[in-house]
Amino acid sequence: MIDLIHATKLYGPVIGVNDIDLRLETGAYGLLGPNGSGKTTFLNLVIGQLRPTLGRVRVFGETPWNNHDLFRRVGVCPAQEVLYANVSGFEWVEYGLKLQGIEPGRAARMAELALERTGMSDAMSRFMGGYSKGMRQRTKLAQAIAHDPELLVLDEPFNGLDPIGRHDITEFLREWRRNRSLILASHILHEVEAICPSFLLILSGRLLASGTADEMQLLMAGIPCDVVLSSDQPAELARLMIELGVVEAVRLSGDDVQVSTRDLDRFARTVPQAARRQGIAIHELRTPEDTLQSLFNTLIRLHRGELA
Amino acid sequence: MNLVRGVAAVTLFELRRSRTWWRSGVWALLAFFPVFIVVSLRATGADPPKEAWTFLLYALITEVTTSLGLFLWMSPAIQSELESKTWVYLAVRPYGRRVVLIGKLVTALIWSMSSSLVALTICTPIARPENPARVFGVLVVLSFLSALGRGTAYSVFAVAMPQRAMVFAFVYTLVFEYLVGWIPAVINQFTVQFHVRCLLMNWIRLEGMPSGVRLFFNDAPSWQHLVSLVAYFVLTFGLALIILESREFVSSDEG
Repeated sequence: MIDLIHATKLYGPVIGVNDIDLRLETGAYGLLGPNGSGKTTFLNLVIGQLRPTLGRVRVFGETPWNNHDLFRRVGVCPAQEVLYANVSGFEWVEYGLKLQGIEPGRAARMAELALERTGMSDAMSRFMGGYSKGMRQRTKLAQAIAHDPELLVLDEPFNGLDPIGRHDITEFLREWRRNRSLILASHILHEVEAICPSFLLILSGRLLASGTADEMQLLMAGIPCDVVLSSDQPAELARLMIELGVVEAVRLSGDDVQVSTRDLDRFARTVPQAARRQGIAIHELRTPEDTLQSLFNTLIRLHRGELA
Repeated sequence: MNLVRGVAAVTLFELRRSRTWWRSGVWALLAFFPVFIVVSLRATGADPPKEAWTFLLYALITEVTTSLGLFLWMSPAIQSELESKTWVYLAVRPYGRRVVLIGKLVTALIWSMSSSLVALTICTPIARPENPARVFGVLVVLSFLSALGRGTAYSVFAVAMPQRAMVFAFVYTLVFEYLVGWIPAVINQFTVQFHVRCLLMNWIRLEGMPSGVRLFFNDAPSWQHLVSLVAYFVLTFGLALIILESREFVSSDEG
């Protein structure tokens, strides 16, 4: 579906994306990265609003820049807020459909349907200037899906949504991804995790990793991960773990012992048993290893050279 | 067909969203400024020659009302979309960039020509030039040609330097159209105003013009001026479209 062939985008001396070589088949992908990591540049290359300085970009086998046929197949929901204050949501979505080349009568029906799908039916005749941020997000989503695109590109679609809105949009996108493709950029992991089975991790314009959560866990083998233990005897617990040789670094903080280990399995097998034998009570053991957040943090630290 | 439909959609949308008190006020100001001047002159009891009234109507309506309308409407055409962060929503549509520019030009023409028409309709009977119907007709055509010329020129600034488009358009109008346009040398033939002015002379046949004034016109037939203007429209708007189609507009909030 999407190919980036050693794609680099420079803004003068600033690198937007850096030598990304990637092939994405049809499906749903979460594009993850902190603010300023190059997510929007990546998306703009895909939706044909930027040209790569080096390398190539292909979407459905075609160059996206100024590709009008491709624009009919892609729906875009950018991060930018819409500021047509004295235009109703319906008028704006209908306008987008007319620009897609859809004749006026049909455009009106399709706009109504799209706004209904995003829960904006009741407010669609009101001016957008009076919309809440969440309502504008829903309207933005409606304009992106209204022409029934094959690929939906969303940049921070949950910004400003309340919990109900987040749930509704999450459910909508989960439904969408069943038979359509989707790229969702966000810096909030759990939002992406709930929708996309595959991820692209991007930092400083570089692709750190890509694949499913399980595939990325494999990348973690041999990479130190952090574990926090709570105990009444933190110093004794720390000494014990050092003696067992299952930790690489130990840090004490009140009743907490934060350790770094490369072999979580061995750590989990040996430390609780040894502590019980020594009469050291462990009240809590926290490891974020089964969440994407940990994976993400670890990859970023690895990229920054903070981990060996 | 898609292009026509797209341009129509942009024009209708722009006209729809421009129905604000502010824009209506600007429109009224442009329409009634010439009326105010003409009525004031009449009220003073001044009785200049009828040719002077014709030239005054040309200057006030074709040169001020029409041009200022285009300046206000066309030069910020792209900047307004970039500023309101709506550009990308338009640019990802098939032929989105060009239909937006053409649609905005059509909208600007409608707004400025409507104020010019209102001004002409009210001012012509008050000014009472010789052969008022002919003056009215000629000034409508000249206002349209002037509007098209200014609009296409401003569109180049709008796409080439959106953030500074109004500044460049203002300098262009002041220096090139109003200053260079009046220099009695070949260079003034590169201005819209020169050709529009010569067409006025050709079509109205202003008599009693002082001989010195003739320096600012030439004797070329009307078709030559019309061809020059059409070439100007095609070149400037073509350039604007080329720039627009090849330019990357980067949002400031890249993530």
